[in-house]
Amino acid sequence: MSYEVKMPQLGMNQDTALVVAWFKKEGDKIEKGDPLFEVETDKATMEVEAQKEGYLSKIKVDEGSEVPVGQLLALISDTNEDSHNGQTDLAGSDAFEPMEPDAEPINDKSIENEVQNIEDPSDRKELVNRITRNNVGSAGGKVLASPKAKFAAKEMGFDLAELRNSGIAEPFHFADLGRVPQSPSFSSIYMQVSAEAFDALILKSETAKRSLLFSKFTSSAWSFVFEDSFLEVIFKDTNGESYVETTTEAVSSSDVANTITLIDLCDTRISAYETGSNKLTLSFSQLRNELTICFSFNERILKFPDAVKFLNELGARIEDPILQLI
Amino acid sequence: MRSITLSQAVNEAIAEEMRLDSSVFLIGEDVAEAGTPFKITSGLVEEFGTERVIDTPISEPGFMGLAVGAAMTGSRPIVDIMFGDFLFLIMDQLCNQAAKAHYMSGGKLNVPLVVRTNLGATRRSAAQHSQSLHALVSHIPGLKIAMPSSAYEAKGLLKTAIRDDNPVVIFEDKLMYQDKADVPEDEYLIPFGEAAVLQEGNQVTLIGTSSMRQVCEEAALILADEKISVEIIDPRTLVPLDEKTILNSAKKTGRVVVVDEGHQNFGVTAEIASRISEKAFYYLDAPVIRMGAMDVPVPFSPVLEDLTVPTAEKVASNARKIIAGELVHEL
Amino acid sequence: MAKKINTNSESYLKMYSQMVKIRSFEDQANQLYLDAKMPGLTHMYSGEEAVAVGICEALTVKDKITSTHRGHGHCVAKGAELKQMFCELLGKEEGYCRGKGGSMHIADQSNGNLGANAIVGGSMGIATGSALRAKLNGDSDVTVCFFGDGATAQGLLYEVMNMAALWNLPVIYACENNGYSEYTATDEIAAGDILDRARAFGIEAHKVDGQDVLAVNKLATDLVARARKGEGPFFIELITYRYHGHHVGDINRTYYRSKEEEEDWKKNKDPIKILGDWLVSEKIASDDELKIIRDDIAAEAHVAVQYALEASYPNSNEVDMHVYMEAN
Repeated sequence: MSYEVKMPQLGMNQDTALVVAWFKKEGDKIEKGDPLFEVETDKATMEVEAQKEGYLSKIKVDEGSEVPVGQLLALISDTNEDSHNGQTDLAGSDAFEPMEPDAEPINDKSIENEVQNIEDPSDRKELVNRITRNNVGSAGGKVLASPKAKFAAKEMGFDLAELRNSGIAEPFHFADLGRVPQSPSFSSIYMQVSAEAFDALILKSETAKRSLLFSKFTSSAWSFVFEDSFLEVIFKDTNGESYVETTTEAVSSSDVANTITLIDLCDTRISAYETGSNKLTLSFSQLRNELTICFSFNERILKFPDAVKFLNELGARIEDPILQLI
Repeated sequence: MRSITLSQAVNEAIAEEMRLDSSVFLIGEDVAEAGTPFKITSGLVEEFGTERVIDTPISEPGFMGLAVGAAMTGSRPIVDIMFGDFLFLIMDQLCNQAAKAHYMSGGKLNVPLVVRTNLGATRRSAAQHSQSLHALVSHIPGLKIAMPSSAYEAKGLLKTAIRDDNPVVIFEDKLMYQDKADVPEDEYLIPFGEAAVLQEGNQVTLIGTSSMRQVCEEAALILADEKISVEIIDPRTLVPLDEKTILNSAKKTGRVVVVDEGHQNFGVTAEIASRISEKAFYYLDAPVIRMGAMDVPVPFSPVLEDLTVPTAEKVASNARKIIAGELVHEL
Repeated sequence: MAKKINTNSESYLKMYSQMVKIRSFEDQANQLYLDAKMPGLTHMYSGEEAVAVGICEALTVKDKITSTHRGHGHCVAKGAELKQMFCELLGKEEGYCRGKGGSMHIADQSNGNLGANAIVGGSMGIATGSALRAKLNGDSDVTVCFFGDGATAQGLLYEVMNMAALWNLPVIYACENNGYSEYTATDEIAAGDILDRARAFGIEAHKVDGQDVLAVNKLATDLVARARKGEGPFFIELITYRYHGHHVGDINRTYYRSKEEEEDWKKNKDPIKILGDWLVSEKIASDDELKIIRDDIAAEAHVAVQYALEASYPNSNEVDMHVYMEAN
């Protein structure tokens, strides 16, 4: 029997990763938990441990290769002898491709049948999701965790399977989420928009300060994109002072799920302020009629497509303030 | 503030309500001169006479039936059922007649009566004088169920019960009759459906009914030595149940142990645990633990009897386990 | 036949009318059931009318009764309206219990009817408790507890008769002995004499022909007056007969009683016919006048049924209403 080593999913929106180095060579004896190879994504470099003991029978991807998530990287065999047989067998390695290492073969069959028997494509999608969820990163199937831990992990974009790799005993509880630092996925996206209409609005208005308008546009864009999700806006000036500018229609502060910090750099020659934290940050800077908005976020908490949607919406409102009224 | 026994508190509640309302009377076995085996009603017959403090033959279904008829026609009887175990004898009158009359008559009839009875083991009285049967009657729509946990609650809840226009069953813990608590001299009522938060904390919620409140309080002391922060809730009435207070606490701590002296199977602990699991599931960080009496008839031998009821040590141990993320039951 | 106990012809005619009203009600209810228009089941009082009317005509509106699963007769005799009764039988909003009780639970507290009861013997405690309340409050009302011969097998009766006798409560236990305890002859379920059960507690007990409304009324009037004076409790055994089965679907009855027996009671011991014959012989009413009474009441019952059939069902929000009485 051979166990397949595949490129793990290391971030929320990551498609490929680079195999930096193999720590073992073909034929080596491997214990479960041994560092097996090093991998680099655009955000971090990390060691991947072996999930199974045995012998490294075949390395299929060379160091330095950029490979998609889920691709077969190596095979681990039960016996060393196997590894030699394995090597010859692997000449046509495609034969191994369809094997799902994580699931029991019997379950696999029944799940496959279940999927095929479903007429409605949306049902099929849901079932596939369910199966994927249940098999999250493990040889042991379902990750056992308290409802609170699961719920919080989902909210935070925290992969509970990583707790298993760290040796914490299941079932996992809420406090366990703090015991293993998850590699953050800090990202920033930029957008340049025309500031003409926005500037005109400030000129016409007698009362509206720029900071207030930024805050209002931000919370409207947020509410528009995320509907019932509440947002608290904190305005931070270049002296480092911060104050709560506005909130969307949150009933009480405990209902505010998100906080976003706004930094206005328009009066400076700085073009952007990027933060490497879990906090959402927006910076605004202006060069003549061009306004540059920089949005920093943790991809484990806010998904990339959602960040894009939000920034697009905000940019559109600034370019065409009429949208604020709709 | 003065401190009086639970027994005195009950006596005061009955006397005060009888003075206020001439339609209130007390009926049961040996409630008059004898003052019941627990001496709870002593002195009442001297003040109110045998017309309003009525000794009956040993006929529980009979005098329970009388109370239903009297209540239906304008009286407010307090029925003394000497031991909670005798509830089985009055089931038809209580559950088929009293509980349903208001509904079955489309709201025309009502049965404002109180059944005062007791619960609790460890009085070395064996299986027919030691049961805690409150879950049985909590199951029946139309009845309200109160569970005083000290002299203070006993007085306030009983006065509310007597004034309620529905049949109410109130369970006193036999072992607590001589326990003292601060009870105001001024009149007060405890509304039904309002739980008491006896101690605030954020790591685990202990919910204890009747004398199990004291067990939870002792458990909290043990846990306090270990720097564990405990919230204690006494529901005070099972029907109506203050679900809001219970759920808010469960959401806050994420861990709950429910302690009650009724049998664990299909019991009060199961009902409360189930509501928490249904309505606060995503806030839970551990399974909700039920701790009821063992599912055996209550044994006589003290050595055996003591094994059947939840103790502070066992409650503390279970709380400790769920806080540590350990399993109380095998997966 | 009892001699004139009351010179008031009006009261005889009232008793006649009340018995006819019960019969008409039951005929219509039976038809509703046969036409599959009535949900559930019901127990017919036809044949026993003299018991309910004889006793209830001896009571005032303040006096209380408790009734049984075979309770339509008691309800009509105590003054209930046919429309509201039919509405209740059909589960309609305008029924006496807003459709929540049905045939076996009609209560009409405005006329002192504390309700029918679907537990055999279930109301004995209630009736005695009502009498206890009257004594404690010094109220002058008397409570009559109707129950059947079958209910004498329930232990509750003996517990409450003991207390009623100990405390001289103003209650009258009215045992309607129709000869059958559900589908079994009374002889097979009751040892000894039924009256002796009450006498064992020192309760004065009487047996009366339950088909002779005047005899029933005379005895009841006497006992009610004495109970009011504090001489109660009393026990009456009323020998009577039900024309229908135990319930409306109890069609094949030959295994417990013969058709000949049923025909004999209907032909020779019908309470309405007995009183009618007497009214004619005493020249209080003519055959024609009695026929007019019967036809008018039958028409009234027909109108009431039609009304009930068209009445509306309760709103669904009533389902959890009246579980508890709300505080004022």
